[in-house]
Amino acid sequence: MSGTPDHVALCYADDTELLGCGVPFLTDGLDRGDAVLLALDPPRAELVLAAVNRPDKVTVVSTNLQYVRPAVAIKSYSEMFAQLIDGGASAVRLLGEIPELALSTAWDVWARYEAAVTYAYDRFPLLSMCAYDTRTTPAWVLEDVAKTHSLVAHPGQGNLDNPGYVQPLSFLATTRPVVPYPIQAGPPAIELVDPTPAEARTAVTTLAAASLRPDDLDDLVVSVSEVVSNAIKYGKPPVTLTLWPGPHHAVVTIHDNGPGPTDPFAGLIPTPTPTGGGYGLWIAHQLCHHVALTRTPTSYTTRLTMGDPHHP
Amino acid sequence: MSHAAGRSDGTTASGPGHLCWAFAEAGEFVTGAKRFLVEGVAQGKRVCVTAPGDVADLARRFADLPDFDNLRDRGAVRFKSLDGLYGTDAVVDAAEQVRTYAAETEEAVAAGFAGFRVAAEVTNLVRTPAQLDAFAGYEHAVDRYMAAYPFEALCAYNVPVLGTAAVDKLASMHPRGNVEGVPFHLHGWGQAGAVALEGELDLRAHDLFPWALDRAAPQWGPGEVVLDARELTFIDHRGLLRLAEQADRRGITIVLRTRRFSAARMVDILGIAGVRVEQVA
Repeated sequence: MSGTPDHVALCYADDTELLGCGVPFLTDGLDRGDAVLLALDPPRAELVLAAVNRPDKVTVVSTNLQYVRPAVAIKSYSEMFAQLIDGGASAVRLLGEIPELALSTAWDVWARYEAAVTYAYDRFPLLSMCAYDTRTTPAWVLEDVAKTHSLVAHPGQGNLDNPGYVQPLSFLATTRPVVPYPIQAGPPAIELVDPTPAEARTAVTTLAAASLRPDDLDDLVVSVSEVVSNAIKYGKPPVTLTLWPGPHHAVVTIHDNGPGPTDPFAGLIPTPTPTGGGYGLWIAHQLCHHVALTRTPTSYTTRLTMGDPHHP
Repeated sequence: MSHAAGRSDGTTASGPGHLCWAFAEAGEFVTGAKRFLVEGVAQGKRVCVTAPGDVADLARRFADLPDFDNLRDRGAVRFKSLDGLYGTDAVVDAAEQVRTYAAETEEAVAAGFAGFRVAAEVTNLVRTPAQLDAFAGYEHAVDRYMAAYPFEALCAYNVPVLGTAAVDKLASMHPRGNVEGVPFHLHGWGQAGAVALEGELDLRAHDLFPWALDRAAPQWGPGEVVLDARELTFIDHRGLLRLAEQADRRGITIVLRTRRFSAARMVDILGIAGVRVEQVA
């Protein structure tokens, strides 16, 4: 296996279907001597392991840690894959499932993740299978799953080409509407026009202090500073920062009149520049609990969220 | 955003005695220098004025210092002309210059003074980009000497002659002075060869910080270098990457002491090896 990693969707309606596709997938990997990873929630992981011949050869990955957010997953998986390959594995096989909560509250970013997977991991000999429980996964999520995986797993038939597959760049070019949080319907604590990064930091430090833990506040301040710096450097004025602090969460939008980054994977994968840039938006994706990008040719908004505005 | 901590009127009260003194007219240099010297004399230090021009003319401009004649007689106040010290366009030899001031400091202490304090009008030494680069390296070297020994200096620069960009660069290499709006100050700290970083590193420092590091970091190490960043209120990822670059290039480890949570997290996220973050209270 070389070049673009294979990316399989496994949409299962019950345990039999999960096992029917998942177990042969893992067993085949073990037979080939691949490094085999399993990232399902604990009850499902146990179920699958019980059905595999050599469960001790399967590395179980904690979904809570692994799927915190997409940019973190990419970084952490990349490090894991690199270690396995360095350690002598000729290929890596992964059966994983994005936790249910992430599907319902942050699918916008996870859809971008699914589209970016082949690109993000293209330096690894990777075969990854993404499991989705059709009983609990929202319909709009399944629609995107059908577009972002080049292969589909069928019990008894293996992995077949997916006729509905959409090339990642085309998929990522269609921006899905970002649904505002209810708190955004109310008046913000502050709206700053053309703030310096320092003014933006001061506003967030002061006005979100009561809403967040000190470390989360610091991470939000860093993220805001990086995104405001990007808007000043690369965007088109005016740059507007709007902040809504809530109980145990804070939402910040940074808007400018430019078209936003041209890189379709912006934020998910760092794009280093010779002058040392290219990490700002990626750092925000690493640190913030949720990041949403909205763009038109003349308007670009980054929304940074710390905490969960849906469950304050 | 200005940094009150780095502001000075020519007196040093407490804290580091290495001032960057920007002036537009000669009179402003004399005014700042006098305050600096009077304070030094009061502390029992030998003081010296170094400037271009004739020594006798120079002395006349400071003749209204309290008790001037007596101070001159007992060697507590000295004057030196910069003329002839360096040829036009010559760049400063940092190590040599530090040795010279170290010798004068030792001499002052041996003569019973509490230390040695110089007010120097050094515009002529930083007129070309090559001179500026070399002199900034010297400023860092001498600043680290000052952090450990009883030597202090007010370095005066003529803004109309040099331009604000050059003076801002020089101001960033001093712990304090009268230049407002310098995003950060990089300077020596303590007697163990540590370095201190104050202010904030963001968009405004994206050009200045790499320049300052290139002047200062060649003098760091070997091994671990403590960068005391307790008074650094913010550092963005570019600042950390610039530090990592220096650590990598010079084979040193930079120990960044900070009060912030985020620096350690960013070093981890960015996979930076040459910078170790120590979070302090």
